[in-house]
Amino acid sequence: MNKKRVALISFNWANHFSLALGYLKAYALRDRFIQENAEIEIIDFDTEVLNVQQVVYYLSQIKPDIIGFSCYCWNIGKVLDTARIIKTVYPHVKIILGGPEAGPIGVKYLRENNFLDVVIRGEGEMTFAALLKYYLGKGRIEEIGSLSYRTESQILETPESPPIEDLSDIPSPYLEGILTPRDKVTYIETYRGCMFKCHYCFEGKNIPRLRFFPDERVQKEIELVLINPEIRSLHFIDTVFNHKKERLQKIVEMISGANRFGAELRTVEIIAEFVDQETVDLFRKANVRSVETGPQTVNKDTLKIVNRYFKEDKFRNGVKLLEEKGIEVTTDLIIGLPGDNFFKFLKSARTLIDMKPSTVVFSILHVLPGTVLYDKAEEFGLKFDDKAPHLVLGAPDFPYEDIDKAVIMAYSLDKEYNIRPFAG
Amino acid sequence: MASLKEKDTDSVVFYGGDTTVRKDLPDIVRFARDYGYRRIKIVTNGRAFSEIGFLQEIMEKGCSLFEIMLWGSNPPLHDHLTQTAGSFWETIRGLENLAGFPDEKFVCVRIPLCIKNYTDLENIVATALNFNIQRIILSIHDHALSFQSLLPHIKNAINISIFNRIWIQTEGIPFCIMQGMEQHIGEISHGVNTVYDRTFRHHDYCSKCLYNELCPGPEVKYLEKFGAKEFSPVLANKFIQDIKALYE
Repeated sequence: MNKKRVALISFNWANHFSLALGYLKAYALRDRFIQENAEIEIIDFDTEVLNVQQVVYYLSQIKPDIIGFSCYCWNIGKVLDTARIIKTVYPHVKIILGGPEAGPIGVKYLRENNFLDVVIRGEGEMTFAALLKYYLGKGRIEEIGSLSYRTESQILETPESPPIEDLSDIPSPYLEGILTPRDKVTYIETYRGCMFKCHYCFEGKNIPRLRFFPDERVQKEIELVLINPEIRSLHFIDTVFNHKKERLQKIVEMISGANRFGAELRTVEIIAEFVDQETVDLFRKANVRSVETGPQTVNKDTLKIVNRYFKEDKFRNGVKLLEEKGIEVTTDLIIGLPGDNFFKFLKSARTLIDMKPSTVVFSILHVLPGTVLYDKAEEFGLKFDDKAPHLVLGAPDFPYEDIDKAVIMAYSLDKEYNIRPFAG
Repeated sequence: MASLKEKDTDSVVFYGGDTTVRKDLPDIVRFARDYGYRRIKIVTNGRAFSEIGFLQEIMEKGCSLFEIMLWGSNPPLHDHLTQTAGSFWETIRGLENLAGFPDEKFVCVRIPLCIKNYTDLENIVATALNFNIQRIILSIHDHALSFQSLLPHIKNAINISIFNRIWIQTEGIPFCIMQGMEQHIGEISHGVNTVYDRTFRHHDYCSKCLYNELCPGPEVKYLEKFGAKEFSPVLANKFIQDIKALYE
């Protein structure tokens, strides 16, 4: 029997590749039935370089039977354009969406786009493997948890599956040879979830505790990546890289022990308030060159409303310690949070600029599906564009015109503050 | 510069007369750069940047932020106000050169407002917007110009600039005049009472105004010429506490 062709597709920026699709493939291929009956190909398209016609042409040549798209707020437009054309030209192809943009509002996507077959909600590995088996002829779709799907007459949802309890069940896409580490775009994940539950973020929502990949596996991944002299920098995508000092020490030992070519860690997410001299020393030992941190706003009312942790003095001290030791700090602010207004946002900007981090990043609030802000937008008095990327259009004290002006002002501040002088 | 750097500043601004007349300006910029200043700004009429080689030298030495004065949207007006024939086109060429220069930079256009150019304000803003700038500052230069006459032009200038997605702010205009446009008051943005070395005076109404402690009031000479009839105390503003917090 011919194997079914499965294409897992991600539209990425700047030559990045999808770790999520690597996990899906690695987990699915644990199953012998899938191994024997499916050929899974991961395709990373550069969204800046390729247009939809080129993507469709590529797919017309490989002729997949099933296509799974990894969906984010910034690529869903291209996903839907591609899926619509594919379904029109090849009606037999099954179209599956997953990822943070589609999962939480699967029914909505299915209702609005009749060319979609299934949307996977939440963590995808287990659900995707079960769905694949169903398409290969084994099992019943209604028995697969965390799915939104279309039947001939209606759109149905199956009950939520619990997240994978033991992350060692998911094979490493790097160690399995599914993903090849590349310079600047290699991600390592050592745990899932987040210790914080900020209302604008979907990380860790509905997942009560952190789940860790086994140390031994993390160590092997780190060694595999760092044995390659061409890898000059890599990223850890843990939600808080320094969430616990003991664990940080362990990870740092793994990195420093394997880092024979001096690869740099770039843009690791940290909580600046947790940074002390010992943390800075550990970061330096791990060759961390840049970190990214909040606080998104410094306004106390807003912090409370969006459930964000921020201690100004500790944050300031953390930024200072890091910058003094040459570790670049990127601090983030969000425009349009409920509780903020134009002047409170300006206060946040001024407060951060006064701390002299290397970079202050200003972003407009995206009211993302799966977040508390999305689910309770009305309660928070938020207006937002329901079409991705779900930009905020108004908050109780932050009307549209003021948000627009804050964005324009922030662009000016960004160009002024974040300037990198000519290196001559 | 060395003593300032010890105070943990990372930005320095060169201004006064016109800094570009100094032959050693590139050396001064390099000196600042070597001291570790990250943001080095030059305030200038921009004429010297009509010579692209000079601009390149200044940028290579480490200056990336520029504030260019633009007095008019046309040669007769600009040249009249600068009292220098040909200065308009030199400034425009300077702005063109800056816009065309590929390196990272921040360019602000300052429009000094006076009795002779305020009716041209919308055109001056439109002219400035042609040069890939990042900010416009409207600053009061002339106490003989009444705010009542100026205000409609300020509103138009703000609308033109925001429509074109470029940030714009004012300096030297009493806050009560700017009601409804407080986001654009430069003094509030910086949390300072005044950016000018001039004499301001609160009038009787000011004591009742919510902005009394924040706003410098009008210039003494302005009050002498026009009186206080244009000013009225601001008695309510939903965001007054947040505005005051910017001064803490």
